[in-house]
Amino acid sequence: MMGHSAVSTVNEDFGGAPKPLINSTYLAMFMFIGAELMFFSGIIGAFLLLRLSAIDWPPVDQPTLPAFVTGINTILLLFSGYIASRIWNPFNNKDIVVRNLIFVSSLGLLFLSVQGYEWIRLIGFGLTLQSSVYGAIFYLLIGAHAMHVLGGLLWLFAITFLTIKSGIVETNLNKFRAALLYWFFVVLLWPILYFLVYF
Amino acid sequence: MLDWLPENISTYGMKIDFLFYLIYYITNIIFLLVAGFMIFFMIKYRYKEGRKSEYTHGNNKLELIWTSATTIGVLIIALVSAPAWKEIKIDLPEPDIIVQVTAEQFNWRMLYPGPDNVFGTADDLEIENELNVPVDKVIHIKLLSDDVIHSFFIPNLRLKQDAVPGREIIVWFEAMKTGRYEIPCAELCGFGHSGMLGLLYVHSSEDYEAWVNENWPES
Amino acid sequence: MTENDHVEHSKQSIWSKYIFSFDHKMIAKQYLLLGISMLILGGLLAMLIRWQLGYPDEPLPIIGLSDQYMETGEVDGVVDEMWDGWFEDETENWLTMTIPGGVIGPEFYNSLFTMHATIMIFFAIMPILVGCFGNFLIPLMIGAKDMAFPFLNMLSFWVAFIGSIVMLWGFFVPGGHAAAGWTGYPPLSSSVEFSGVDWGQNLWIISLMIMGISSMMGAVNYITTIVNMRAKGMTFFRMPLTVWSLFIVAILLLLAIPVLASALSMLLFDRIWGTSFFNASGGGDPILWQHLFWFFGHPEVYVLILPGMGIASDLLSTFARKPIFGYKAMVYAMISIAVLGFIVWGHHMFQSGMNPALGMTFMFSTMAIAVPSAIKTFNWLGTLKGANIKFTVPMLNTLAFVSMFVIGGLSGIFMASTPVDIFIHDTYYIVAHIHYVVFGGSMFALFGGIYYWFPKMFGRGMNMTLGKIHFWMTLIFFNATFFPMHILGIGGHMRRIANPMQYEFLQDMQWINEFITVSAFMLGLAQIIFFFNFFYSMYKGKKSVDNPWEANTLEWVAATPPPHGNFPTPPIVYGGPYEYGVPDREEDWLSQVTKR
Ligand code: HEM
Ligand SMILES: [Cu+2]
Ligand SMILES: [Cu+2]
Repeated sequence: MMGHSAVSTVNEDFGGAPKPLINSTYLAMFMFIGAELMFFSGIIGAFLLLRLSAIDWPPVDQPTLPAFVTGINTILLLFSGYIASRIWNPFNNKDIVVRNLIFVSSLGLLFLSVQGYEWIRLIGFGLTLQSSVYGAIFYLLIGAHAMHVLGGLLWLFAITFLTIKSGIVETNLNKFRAALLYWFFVVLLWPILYFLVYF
Repeated sequence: MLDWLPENISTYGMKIDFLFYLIYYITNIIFLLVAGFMIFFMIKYRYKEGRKSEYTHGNNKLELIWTSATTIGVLIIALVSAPAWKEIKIDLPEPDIIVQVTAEQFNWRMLYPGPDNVFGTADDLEIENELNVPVDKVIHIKLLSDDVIHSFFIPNLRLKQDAVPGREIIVWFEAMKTGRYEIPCAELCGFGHSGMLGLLYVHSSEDYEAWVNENWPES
Repeated sequence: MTENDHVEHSKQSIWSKYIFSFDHKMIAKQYLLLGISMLILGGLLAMLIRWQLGYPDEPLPIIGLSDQYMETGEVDGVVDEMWDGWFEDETENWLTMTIPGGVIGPEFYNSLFTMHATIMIFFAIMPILVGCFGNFLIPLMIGAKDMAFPFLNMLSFWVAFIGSIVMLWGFFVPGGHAAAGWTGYPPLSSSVEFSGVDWGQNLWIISLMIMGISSMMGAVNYITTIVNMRAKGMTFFRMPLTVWSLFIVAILLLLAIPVLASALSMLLFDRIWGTSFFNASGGGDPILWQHLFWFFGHPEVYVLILPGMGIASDLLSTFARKPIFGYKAMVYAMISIAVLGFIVWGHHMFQSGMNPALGMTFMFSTMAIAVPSAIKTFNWLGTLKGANIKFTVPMLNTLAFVSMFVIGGLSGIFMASTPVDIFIHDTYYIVAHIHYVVFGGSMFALFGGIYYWFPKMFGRGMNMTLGKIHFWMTLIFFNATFFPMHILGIGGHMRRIANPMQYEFLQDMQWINEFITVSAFMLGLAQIIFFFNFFYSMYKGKKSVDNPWEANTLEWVAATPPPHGNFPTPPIVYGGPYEYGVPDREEDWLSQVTKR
């Protein structure tokens, strides 16, 4: 009898332990995002150093970046972040949540497509990885962000799928919000990059 | 231990050596104190059955004392170091002679401006791995690199500076003694890094004059 | 043990128990095994380095490479089939290509020291001090049943394992392994044309990226576990200093490694896609790499030493039978080391061509970081005063840690003084410093920690006679190996040169190199005792009781070895970890779970 109770406590979450200071999933997400920020800081630091020590930026034979189109694109992405923020508490109708999620991802997808299109044009104008360090750091920095958008999209697809399948139950809430937190990071990082790189 | 420093022949080398000695003595004293206390405690407080240790969790006054003492100590070391650094690497004196040194895998190319005193003209003189300078004159070295990072190191002059591709870095020295000295490369630069070696000839002013007359192109 | 429990156990397959285990203790052992294997490999590389320096360009002894083998790749007519088809010429094979005629030579020498440092730092010391001790101790010491994210934990190890394979692979690719130093300065590292190293360097980059991912997963796990899973009563200021140190290490890793990753990406782009981030002729800047690398690199060296500091504090207090002196000062010192660690990176770049005025500010910040290191040392001394010191093997190693760290810290002051650094930068003085802090520091703490926690890990104690022999030999030959390097450095002996005899001004000092080489071989031999002791004791050591050292911290409350889930019931903590020698008690220790 004694032994049995001892075993069962092992399998429970520690009853005696204090309440966690902060939900572990959020904490892990914040740290992950912090690390991502340091990764981008490294590249941004490199960008600034290269830009400040260059004689002219962009170099004379290199195209200027499409600030206007990308500005509109920025608004698209910010809007998707805004929609995402409205389903932070996804406790109403499941269909509405799913519809919103799809809307968020579609905006993200649109953002990526516009970027992809711009990249193809830029490559056509002779801005490539090898054409200059201006091109290299542009593709590295913006490309790193684009990869993160892509990652965020996949994550959003996953939770959309999950929501369709099993709805928002207590056990899914953390996964759901983790994806949203990541999406907020991707969205909010963008305007900083936009102002740094496109002007 | 101090005898191991190579002979110093540069004007500012004494300052580096002085700082070296200073830090050497300070750190030695600290080391002996720490080691002394440690050995003393280890002997005095070795395990005895039945004895209990002194039950204390620390002493804020002591913490304060040794924190401020070390802070002041290292601050002083930094403050006395600063002027020498400024003199050697920041405030360069006006040059008497300028030589352009280009590092490449695995050579030092020494370029003299020639009689017209301008680099990049036909009367420039380039010599591989051999630097000739007069004694007691301020020499500027314009340091360049063609390929990877190298480091221009003259132990006897207490001079070291990386040569970085894409940058032109100026360092200076003034030799106080004639002779022949080595110029190794101190930064890993490839498979030939070991053995990348130039020679520095410090001439008396007459000898230098003679060397110039013999080797420099006619103007 | 109940029936229920029994069923659970037999259900576990070998795979889930030993290979893809989620249990923090098994993962810790996996890290330990990985780390020890790499430690042995890194050590062997060091022996080769020393051979070349002691006896430059002489053929290697023993290794059994007859002239015939070196020339033809055959011994007694047996062709080395393993390399069939790898090399164009029939008589060429890996050995004849890498060390023709049995002579190490400059190309291979450059790979040797590059890989020695890389392996020791990223694959030996970090996996053991952070991976093994972090995994094993954090949950046990804070009274948790496991890590916050056991799956992530398992993943983290296997990612590190893949990273290690990728790194080892590099030895066997044409062109040889990375040879640009563990600091990988471009343009040497960024262009095949300059170094002759092709995929070796790429694999080096990729492997470090993979290791970075593994470290990130570990760091997130450690921090979450420490913040959220502490047992009742285990406040932050009741945590053992080992846990504090690992907590701070995790934060350092979390913030520093991504910056390395960004630099490594640029390097990889330069190498593979022809960008010119670090290539001056294409508009890039070689010094940019150094800034990014050392922004990571300096916190990294504290990643190597902080766990050692934590372990040393715990062991020191336990065997001094006395509370640690200045617990909070210790914690604050570690925090300030972590904070200051991010603003001193420029002290590696004083002679790099970075603006010398900037060098001046880095001198001041570097001097500042010596202060918390000193505080820690003084507090360790304070702990010894009035103690009742038991000279067990773990304690001997801890005392060695303290004294060797002092030497390493003090030599740091020389280099922090910018004018002195002009002379000693990139000389053996730096090599001496590195080894006093990393071998004298981290490694002695590592030995101490293994002797100390071995019983808890494997349920058996290590042999203490062998432990003593190993300790004294290591201490003596460590100093005989690395102290003379200070003298070489002061003599101007550059680091990373394959043959000192090429320089007139170094020839007089060659006997020191020879002396170091002999000592290094003895140091290497001494480690055989340790490895033997380790593996022998795992199976044949004396069975250990739950708390062999009469220590206070929670891991000793758990059974030996701790079962899955660690504690039968959640422990409740009533006091700090260092209550030794409390007056008016019969024993001289007071477990954290004892009511008072
Ligand atoms: C008292 C504190 C310390 C000070 C003031 C200090 C200072 C320095 C300085 C100025 C350098 C650069 C020297 C040069 O390249 O010219 C250096 C290099 C180094 N330090 Fe320290 N250090 C300290 C503690 C440590 C600790 C605790 C560790 C590691 C556990 C460490 C590991 C290293 C390593 C690995 C290098 C060489 C890196 C390389 O170039 O390969 N140091 N240190
Ligand atoms: Cu060189
Ligand atoms: Cu550092």
